[in-house]
Amino acid sequence: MLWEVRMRISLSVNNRSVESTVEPRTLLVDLIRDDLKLTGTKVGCDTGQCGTCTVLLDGRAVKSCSMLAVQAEGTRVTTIEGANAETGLTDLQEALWAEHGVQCGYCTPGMVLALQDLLATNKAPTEQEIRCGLAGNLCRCTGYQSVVRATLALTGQNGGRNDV
Amino acid sequence: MRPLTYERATAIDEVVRRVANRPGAAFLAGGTTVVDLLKLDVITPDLLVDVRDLPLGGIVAEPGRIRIGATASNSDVAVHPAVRERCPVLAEALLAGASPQLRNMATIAGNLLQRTRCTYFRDGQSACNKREPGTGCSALNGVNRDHAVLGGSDDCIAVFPSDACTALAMLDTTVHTVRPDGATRVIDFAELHTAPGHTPHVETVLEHGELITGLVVEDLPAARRSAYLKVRDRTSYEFALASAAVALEITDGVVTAARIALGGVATRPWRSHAAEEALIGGPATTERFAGAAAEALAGARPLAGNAFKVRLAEQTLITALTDLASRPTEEPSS
Amino acid sequence: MTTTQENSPAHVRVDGRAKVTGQALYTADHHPPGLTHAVLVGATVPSGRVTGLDTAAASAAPGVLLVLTPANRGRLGQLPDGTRYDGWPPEARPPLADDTIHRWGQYIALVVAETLEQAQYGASLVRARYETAPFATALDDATVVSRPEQVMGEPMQISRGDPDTAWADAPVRLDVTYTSPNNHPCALEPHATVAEWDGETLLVHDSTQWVRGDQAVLSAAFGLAPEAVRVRAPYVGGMFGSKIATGSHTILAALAARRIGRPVKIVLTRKQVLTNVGHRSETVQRMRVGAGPDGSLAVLRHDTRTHAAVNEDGNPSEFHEPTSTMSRLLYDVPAYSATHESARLNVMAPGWMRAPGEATCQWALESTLDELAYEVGADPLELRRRNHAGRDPHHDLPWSSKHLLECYEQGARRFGWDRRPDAPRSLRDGPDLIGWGMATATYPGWRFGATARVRLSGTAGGPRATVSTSGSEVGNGAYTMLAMTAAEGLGLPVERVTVELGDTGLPPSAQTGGSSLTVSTAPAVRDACLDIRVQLARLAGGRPNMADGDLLAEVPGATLTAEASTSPLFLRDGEFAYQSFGAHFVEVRVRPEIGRIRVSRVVSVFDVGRVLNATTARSQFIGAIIFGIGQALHENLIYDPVHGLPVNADLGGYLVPVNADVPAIDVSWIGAPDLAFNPLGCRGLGEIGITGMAPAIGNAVFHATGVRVRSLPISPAELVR
Repeated sequence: MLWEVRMRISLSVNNRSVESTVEPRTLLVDLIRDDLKLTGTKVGCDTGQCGTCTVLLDGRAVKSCSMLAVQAEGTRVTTIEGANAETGLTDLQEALWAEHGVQCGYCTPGMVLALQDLLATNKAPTEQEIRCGLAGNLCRCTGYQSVVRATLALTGQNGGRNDV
Repeated sequence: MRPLTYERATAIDEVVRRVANRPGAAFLAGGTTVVDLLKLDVITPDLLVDVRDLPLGGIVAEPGRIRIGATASNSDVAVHPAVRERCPVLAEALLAGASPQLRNMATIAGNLLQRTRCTYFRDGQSACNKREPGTGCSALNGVNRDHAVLGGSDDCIAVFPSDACTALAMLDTTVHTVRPDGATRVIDFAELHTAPGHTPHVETVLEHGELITGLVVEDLPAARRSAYLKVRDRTSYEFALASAAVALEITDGVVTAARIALGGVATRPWRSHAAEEALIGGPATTERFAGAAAEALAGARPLAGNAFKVRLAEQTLITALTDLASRPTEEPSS
Repeated sequence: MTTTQENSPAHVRVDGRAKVTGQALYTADHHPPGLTHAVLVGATVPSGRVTGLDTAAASAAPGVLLVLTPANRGRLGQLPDGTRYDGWPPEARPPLADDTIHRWGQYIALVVAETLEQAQYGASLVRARYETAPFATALDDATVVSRPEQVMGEPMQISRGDPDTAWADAPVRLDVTYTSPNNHPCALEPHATVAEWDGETLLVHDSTQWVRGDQAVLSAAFGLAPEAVRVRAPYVGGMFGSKIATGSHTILAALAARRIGRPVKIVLTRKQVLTNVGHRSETVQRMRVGAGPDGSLAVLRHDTRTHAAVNEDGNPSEFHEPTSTMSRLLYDVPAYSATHESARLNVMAPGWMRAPGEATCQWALESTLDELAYEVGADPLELRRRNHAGRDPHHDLPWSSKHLLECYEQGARRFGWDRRPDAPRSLRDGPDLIGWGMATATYPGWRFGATARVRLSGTAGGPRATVSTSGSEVGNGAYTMLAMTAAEGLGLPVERVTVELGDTGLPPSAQTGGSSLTVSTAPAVRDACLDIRVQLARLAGGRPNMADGDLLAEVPGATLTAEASTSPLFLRDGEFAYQSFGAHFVEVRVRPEIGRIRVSRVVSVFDVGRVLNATTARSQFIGAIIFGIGQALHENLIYDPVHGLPVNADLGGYLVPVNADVPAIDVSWIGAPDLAFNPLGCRGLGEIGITGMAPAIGNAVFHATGVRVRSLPISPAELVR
């Protein structure tokens, strides 16, 4: 029967090899949250639209709710738990904290990873590039300003503005 | 989600055979459409065959054309220097679509096969000829603000949602496939998507098990001066209410070549030859652009909820042409 | 973590580290041993009866442990009806009560399985047969229309002065109708519950803004003493009004957990959030204003139609979007009347959403005033000054503290309003038309009351304080604000204060709602700190006026504890009316051909009493302002009037603002303390920011384009020429 099908997959999660047995229909986000108990990755919409499930797959930001776990076989997955610096916070996390880039915090892990991807390809994004680069990360507290401000501060571009 | 099986393979013929031999099988690439619709129970394949291990990922700029492998990501295509230089409209259209995460995941071939956002298709329960042939079309008398004014039928008015395909439709694009019998074929982009007619569940000319291996976008001088304008309810991350992909070649004030396609308003990628012809040979003026827009929307069949789209699409096209014509002739070096 | 970081004022957000590292645990992050997963099945018709529910396939599916339906749900105790403000079910009818269907998506079954995938699949196998009945999901189709007398104690059908005569006599008259669609709070964290039983004791992790409301509802449902139900919500991923009522899913999760003897987790899908958690009702508001030639208001008649749910008729605490609560008191209008009708539709019972009533009222009222300004040839800001209410004309009471005129002045200056040409379509930048609009913001003073406990303990490293109250951190910055209040109250560095929130085991607090958490809890924390200082002084031999350091040196190895409370205060008392005010000034850019609207600049000034924490306050103001951008330009939860189902109930269809929609926002406040409201002088500030934003944007769109759009959201469809 189809529902008896289980697949053994191996992937790297936060630089650790992970072997897991999953149903082919298991979503990557459910593997991460339910099996690996890495609950910093969130689910907010079920339809690939909110961005709270963002993880890095081979270094690029993806939505783990819109991928099957089996699709991640052989890849390198980084969740928020793996994005944390070993010694504390990354500069990006420091900046988000310092600039008050968190309110309810539910979107924050996804924002951190999306920004990490953005900053990997664009060292000094403009305000507009940051806003567009975060198009896939909704924040209903609408704390967008402080996230943009934090990113500009991190890259030394805020120039003392307080209206973003 | 229903239970299913999953396979991946590294040989094209094997992948094609696996899907072709099983009626319930489907290809899986980025998964941004397939996994989404699986979760909604709108599609119910019993086998997914992952094509990501196939050697189909590259983007190659040759003299005269760009070859884009089927599994190249939308992100990679959008930032490729040859794409940005030779057909910026495609880069702009890609970047106007979805979000960075989805563009990282989605493949260009998958984009060609994107499914409609029609709510009655996606809800898995309403009467919908596209999802369940013969059940009727709930959009015709339902909420149809987002629906098509061009190319619809009495059986379906679902919009084909892709931004990239709007650009590809006005470029000289061919689609390369491998058929179930192993033979290859080349399909003109214009021939790939079918009109809904009485069979809206049939969306392309592809056979079951026929695999897209890549696209070829032929160089087009006009496309070097091209642009994509998308109008939507919010600033980013939303499907188009109306969009226009336009290319213009203007010599001494006279339009010598033009390419035009509309998005967000039609049931399939919608190139308008009539609008192009209305421009060629005349001055690049707002009046002429308005004439072209009227040609493009001449066959529109609006309904109560989407009547505004006729005028909006015309204005989107006029605005896109106006903005493009007013750009300096010399492309800024990148 | 180094001390330097902790001490940095920039790192003042005390929950910042937990949130930027993903370590903050929300409800659905809990995985107790033996956890099972539940998925709800919704009706696929808008009205009628379930004539057959086939659960055989679902029950037989692998991993499925339980299929709960009306047939096997069993008895639930009488739920509170909300009238005593002790707990609030989202609708009077308990979940899975019977086979009648009132709306699309109404829960008809719950499937519990070992894994989420199995529960989802099991849910998809439940088959229902229906007998359908006539329905209405559009206001005009309703066959039953109610006329609510009151909403939460405020009368909805009112009149003062002589509106008929004043209207007949008014030299200038306007009769305009404004509409707004269904909106939804749509917090990013979907509603979720993890329920587990230990014998006759129930532990619930819930995504709620009111743990004690949950406790009241659940203890009633299961016939338990309140103390047998513990509810925890230390972190909540946003709420905006949608997590006050105890969801049906929470009751069912607890029921299922008891039935199978294992913990049950349930997380609503986004579609279930949008259709089973109360939305902000659509409104149709007819505004008739009569004025003198200079725009001085003589009469205002405010007639509203909203909707309610067909199955809620007779519910004494039924909520109707109370659109007239602000129009009756914001301006100095001698003659006034308001009526309210609610059409009964086959939709979820509407609920509270950020500034319920105020946000919709201000859309109609402030847009109408803009029209009046053009009608009489007055500057819109000047028109508001002319009609400024020096006292509350509805309650006939003085304001406790009102600095609205200063908000106008400060906002106009910061925005550069004096450079605004009156005529529409007179500002242009390249292809864009520019428009400037303004509106008044207002929100009442609520204080629901709370008890806070402060413990001060001597430790090896010096004294540490713990602040405890059961209110929730929902993004508002409660952890930070209370830590700072206690730090100030005890003279301790803020990092030596720990705050415990969101647990029924802590001292009682009302819901985090009505912009009232800070105003309820902070004064209690302050008083508890004062009590501790008195205890300390006593220990130190009763010497008064000791310096902080000397006092704290007296902290013994043992622990000092104090509790203090605040009492409820709603809107007014015998002496004063309590109200906050503000002013928004907005610039929009419109590409007229394609109707594309961008809000390009916002200046807002607020009068909310004393602001305790500038950083959290700024976040709250800005968040609410952006909520207002959503109300103005994006948000619209649509039901199909023909087929009776929701058509855009996901985050691709229900549009909330994205980052790129957000312009430069300049927020400031007057800061004059309102010491009549509480000893700290602060009023709430979480909601006022949304009020007035939609009309300020609509007024700016009119100024840009000359097109007056009277229905929300304002989209390219309305503006394309």
